[in-house]
Amino acid sequence: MRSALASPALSLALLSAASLTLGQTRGYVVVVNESNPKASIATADLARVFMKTVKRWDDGHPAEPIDQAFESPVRAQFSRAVLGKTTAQVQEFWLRETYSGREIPPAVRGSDAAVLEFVRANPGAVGYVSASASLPSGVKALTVNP
Amino acid sequence: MKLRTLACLLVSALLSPALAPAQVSDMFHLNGYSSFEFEKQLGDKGKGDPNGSFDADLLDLVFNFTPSERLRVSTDLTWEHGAATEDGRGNVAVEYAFAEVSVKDWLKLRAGKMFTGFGIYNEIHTAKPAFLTVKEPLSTNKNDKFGSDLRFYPRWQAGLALLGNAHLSSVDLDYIVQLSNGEQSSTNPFEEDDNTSKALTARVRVRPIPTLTVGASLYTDNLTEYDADGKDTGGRTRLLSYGAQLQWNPSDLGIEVEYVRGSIAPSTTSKLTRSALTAMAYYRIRDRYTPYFRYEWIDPDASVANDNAQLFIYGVNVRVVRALYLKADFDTVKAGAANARFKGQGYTEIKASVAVGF
Repeated sequence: MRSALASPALSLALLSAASLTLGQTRGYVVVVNESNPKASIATADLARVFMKTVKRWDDGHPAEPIDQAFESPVRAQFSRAVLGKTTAQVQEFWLRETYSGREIPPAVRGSDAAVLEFVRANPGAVGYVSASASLPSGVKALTVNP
Repeated sequence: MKLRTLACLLVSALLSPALAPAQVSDMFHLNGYSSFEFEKQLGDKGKGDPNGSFDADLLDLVFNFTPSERLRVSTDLTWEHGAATEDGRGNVAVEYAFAEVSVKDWLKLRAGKMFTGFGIYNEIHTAKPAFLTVKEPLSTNKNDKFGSDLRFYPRWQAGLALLGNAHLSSVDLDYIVQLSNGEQSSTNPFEEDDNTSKALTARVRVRPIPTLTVGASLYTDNLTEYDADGKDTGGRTRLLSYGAQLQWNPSDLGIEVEYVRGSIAPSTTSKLTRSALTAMAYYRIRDRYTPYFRYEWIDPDASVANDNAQLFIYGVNVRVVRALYLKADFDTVKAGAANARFKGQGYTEIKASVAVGF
């Protein structure tokens, strides 16, 4: 008896279904400037970029993380999934970092469109937008691996 | 007509986001916080506040200017207790003012006045929105208010620092090393050192997993000894403090522990050894309500019996909205008869505050 995964068509269908489920669960897409050579990033590395403990991409270019507004549902999902914290906990982290003089938080944009515009205009930028947002030219999605 | 056109253009320019490029606003950050507090000692005896007082605790403004991705200038200005210089009330201070150059993620160079990077609380000791309780710990951070003659380390320093972040596989760490004038009363330590010996501070914090931070800190300096006429005797008192810290928040539960030990070794008299502990547990409910319990303990001088002091704090922190917090503490102090501050007189105090950060 052949294994179900031995069928390439069925494997592809299952993979697509899994990706779709993952995308729906996430509800956000991580985006970078099209000139960024990266195609994927580990969750832990993405968290380091957003916590600003890593401030450069592998090729040495400055990384510019961009957050969404405090109340944004997509920020809540991103914070929980990537940073392992609620938005309030992330805010508390940045209060401590800022007041201690250690670091300042990522810049904030108030909408998917504003984030996409920032990412399109800045080669080192990385942001996140709703899964339903359509990506303009000059912006690409970054696959986030566990 | 020309004037009206010019005015319209000016207003349009000011209101148009397109004329305010992201780089301009992202280059300059203004943050800050404010805190308003109330304290009342229950009963007449003790070192608390039997009258019950409101305290316009502070307004702090934090400015960060990043003209390039490698350079940051940062300053924190504070107005405490309703500062009014005309009446000689309150105080105004530069908490820190420094320039920082980022060479690599793991190597930043800093010069100026800065907080002493020791333990959990010193760098946020006035930043009330940044911690749960009404006040920062006394035993490990403000021990001169808890029976010690001298703090384990000064609040601030003027000097140079190296700091940075690194990660080895899945383990993250950060460090800071500071070289400074240290602390002294004979001269302004942010302007002039009173001896050639520099103070050294070092701290490393390691995160083996994202929910656990462990760290170790060190501070050492040689303090000038003066005679009765205020002249340098040539003798030096060695101040040494070292500590360990742990912060663990696996879920809504959180644990914080900090232990500091140290010594004061004058050139002619015997060495004094002291130690202190702070331990706190808290639990977040709905990401908004956080009841907490903190225990503090200090032994100001290991050679003196019955000089220990303890502080028990039960309280709750409520995040009302964004970074607006309401806090209420129930603090009980217990102390031995030989404790220099409390002299065996325990007391209970209620504290409440409104703290807001932005």
